[in-house]
Amino acid sequence: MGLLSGSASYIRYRITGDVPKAVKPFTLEKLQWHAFHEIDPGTLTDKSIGWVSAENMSLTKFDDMHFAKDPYLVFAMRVDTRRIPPIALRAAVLREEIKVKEQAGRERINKKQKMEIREEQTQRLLKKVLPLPAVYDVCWNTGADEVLFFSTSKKANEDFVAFFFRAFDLKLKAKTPAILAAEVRPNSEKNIDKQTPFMTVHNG
Amino acid sequence: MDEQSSKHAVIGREFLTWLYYQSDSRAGRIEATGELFELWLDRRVTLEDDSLEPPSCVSFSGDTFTSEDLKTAIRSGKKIREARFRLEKAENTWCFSLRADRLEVSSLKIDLPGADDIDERFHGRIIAISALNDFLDTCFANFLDSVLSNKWKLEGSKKFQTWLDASAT
Repeated sequence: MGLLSGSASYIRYRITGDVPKAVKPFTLEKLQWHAFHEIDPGTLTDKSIGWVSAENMSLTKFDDMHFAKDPYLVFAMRVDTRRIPPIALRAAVLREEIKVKEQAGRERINKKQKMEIREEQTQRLLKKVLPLPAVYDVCWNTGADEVLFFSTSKKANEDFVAFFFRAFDLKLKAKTPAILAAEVRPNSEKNIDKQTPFMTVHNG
Repeated sequence: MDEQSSKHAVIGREFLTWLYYQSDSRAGRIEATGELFELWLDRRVTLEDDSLEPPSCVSFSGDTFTSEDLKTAIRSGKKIREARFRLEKAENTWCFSLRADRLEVSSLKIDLPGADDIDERFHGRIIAISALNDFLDTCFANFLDSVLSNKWKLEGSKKFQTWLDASAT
C-alpha cells in the first residue's frame, strides 16, 4: 500500500543486469508466470508469494497491459502466510500428550513421541488456519532502471529482492547511502572512507 | 551491525546532520534541482552516538524541543539517525520521515487533491514522490561535494563549528 493512496513508505532499488528492450511484453510474461496463487486450504503450505494487480489484490490474472503506465510498470507483491498461534499449538500438543499418556498408562512419554505429537498437531492445525494476506506496491521506472518497493519492513524487502530475481532474473541493489554516493558521485568511495566523519565536533 | 551496514549508517547520519545544519543555518531555505525549497524538522528526531557501547541515543518529539537541544546532542558526539521533515515548494508540501542508515522514506504524506481516476491519482502521486527523490538525491550530491572539498577543510567545518557553538553562548 502507499503508492495509490494513504501515506507511503518505500525503499528505492537500482536494477543491475540487462533489462530486455521490449520491457513491457517481457514483464507481462513474467507477471503471468509468477502471478499469485492462493494457498489450497487442504495442503500444508504455510506461505504463498506472487504478483497481483496494484489496483486489486485479488486480481491475479495479467491478461492486459493495465500495469503499464509509461514509463512506469505498476504491480504489487502479495504474500499470504498461515501461522498457527503458538499458544493454540501448545494447548493442542499438551492435550494430545495427556491422551497418549493415559492410553499407554504411563506418566512420561519419550522425546521422539513428543516430536511426533507436535508434528501431527502442527499439520492438523495448519489446515484450519486462514491465510493472512499482505500486499506491497511495486513501481518500476523503466526509464531509470529504478524500482520503488512500498514497505520498509526488513522481511518484506528480503522476500521482494529474492522474488523479483526469481521472477525477472534481474538483481536489485538497495539505494543505501554508500550505493547512492557511488551513483551520484562516482569514484568518491576512497575519499569518503578516508575523510569520514566529516562533521567533526570540537568541544571546549 | 556488519562493516558494510555500519559504513552506510555513518554516511547516512552525517548526511542527515548536514541537512539539518543547512536548514537551520539558512532559515529553512535549501536550493536543489535548480529550485528553492523550504525544509524544516517536523516535530520528531532521533540522534545517536554509536561509537559508544551500548550506543547513546536521544529522541525529541512534539513542540517542546529546540535547536539548542539538538545542538547540545550533536556537540556530545551524536548524529541524526532518523528525523521527520516538512518540505515545501510553492503549493507543494511533503511530510516524511527519513532514516539515515538505509535512506528509507517512511510515512510520507503528500498534499494532493483526491482523484477518482486511478491513472490520474497514480501520476499525481508518482510525480510528487519522484520530485522528493530528486530533491534528496540532489541534496546528497551537494552534501558530498561540500564535505569532500578542500573548502570544507579550510572553511566549511569551521562554519559548522561556529553554527554549533552559536546558541551555546
